[in-house]
Amino acid sequence: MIKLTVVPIFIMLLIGFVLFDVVSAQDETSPTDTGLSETVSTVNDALYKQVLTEYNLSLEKYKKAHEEYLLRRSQYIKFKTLTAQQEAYKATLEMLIARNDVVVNYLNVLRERLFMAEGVSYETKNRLDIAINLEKDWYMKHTEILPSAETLENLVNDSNKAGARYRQTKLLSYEVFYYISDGKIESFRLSLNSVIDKLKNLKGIIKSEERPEYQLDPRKIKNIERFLLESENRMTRASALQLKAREEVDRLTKSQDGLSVYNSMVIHLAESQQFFREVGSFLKEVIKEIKSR
Amino acid sequence: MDKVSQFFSDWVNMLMGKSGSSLKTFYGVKSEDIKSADADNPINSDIKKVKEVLEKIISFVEEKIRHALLHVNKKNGFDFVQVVNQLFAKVENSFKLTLVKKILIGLLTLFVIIFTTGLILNLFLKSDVKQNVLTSLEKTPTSMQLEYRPIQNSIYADDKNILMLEEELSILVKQIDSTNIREKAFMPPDLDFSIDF
Repeated sequence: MIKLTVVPIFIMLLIGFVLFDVVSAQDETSPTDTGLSETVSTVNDALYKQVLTEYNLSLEKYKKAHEEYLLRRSQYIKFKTLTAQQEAYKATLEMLIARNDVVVNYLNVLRERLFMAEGVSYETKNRLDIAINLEKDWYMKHTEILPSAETLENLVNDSNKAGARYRQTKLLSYEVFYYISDGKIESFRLSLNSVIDKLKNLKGIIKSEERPEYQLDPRKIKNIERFLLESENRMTRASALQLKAREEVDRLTKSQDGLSVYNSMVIHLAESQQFFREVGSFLKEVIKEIKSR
Repeated sequence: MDKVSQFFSDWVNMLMGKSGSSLKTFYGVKSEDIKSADADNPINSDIKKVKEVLEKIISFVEEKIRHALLHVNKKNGFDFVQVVNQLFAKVENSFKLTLVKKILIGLLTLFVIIFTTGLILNLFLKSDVKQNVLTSLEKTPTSMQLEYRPIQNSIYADDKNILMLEEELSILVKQIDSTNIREKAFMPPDLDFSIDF
């Protein structure tokens, strides 16, 4: 009798533990949380690797289709026969479809990369996700209408439309890259500010301490205050540079050459990073002063 | 001494493309052979050409100076020309020889100085007095010697919160140092949009 009750209870407990693990893996982070939990990161990593593999495969397929297109094109230009024209049409169509697939898979990679990035707000991720999906839809619809182009000239016109759209896609990708880079700086800024606040509280406690064994030399207190002040100054400068980069987003979305604008934004962010390095070394000195007599 | 000076003069002449008589007899070579060898040697012919050009330039300059001085002479009644001619003659004849002499004397003097200095230093280093001075210098304490003072920990050195904060900061600093801000890996792919037939 006891065995009959114990065994089912044990099996139910086992099932319960397994389900609990599955449920926790499916939890999503809240919109305001800028960090990633381990389980979400693991799932996203797997998805990211999958889209990356698909992108690489589509790129290889496109390269082969492009070589075939070049061969058929040169044959058609040389011989100008009907057969050559048909072969050239077929090869061009396949190449254009493969090219669209590459762009769609690239946008998938971009999307996953964006969602893995730390420090990017939920609203920004959402907005960029909508923009990425719009681009994907355009290329997928373009792939659907390509076979209806009956002549080579129509294919060339369709290709030119895709070319114009690709310029816009590139600008979107540079915008995504900027927000990912800005997210890294933002997460560093928040973490460093948190450490500075904790050290300032600690300094306040030590300064107001009345027990002689817990008091530090006034020179040490002065050094600590100086380092904290220097850290705050550098944090202010880093924030100003981050803001300067942010102001160029409008210029990026309207520019012809997104890469040059993105590069200039990255330079500002890299300068911020340098200030953060200095803040890190100052805060280390503060801790050294607190730990030594 | 005259033979020595003659020898050096001939050596310099040899360098400049002229064959010296003393060197001829030293090496046992006939003058006709030397002249024919000189004529065949392209380097000697090049040196001769350069010398001819230099001589022409010098004579041209000399002529100009003489004309100028003659003109001055007429005005002032003092024979500059004779003085300059004598000067030029002296310089031309003895310049090369004195130059060589001076160089050799200079080199010899330098060698003697170096040798003497080395001898003196060697004697000085070997002396016991020097040894004693050196050892006494080593023993004398100087103000540059620093005493090692180990850092003393405060009461906060073992505080858990401070240690955790230090660890957090250390990880953050490493992250900041190692992070590449630029997204290099996934630039848009380079696709061919220039389709035409």
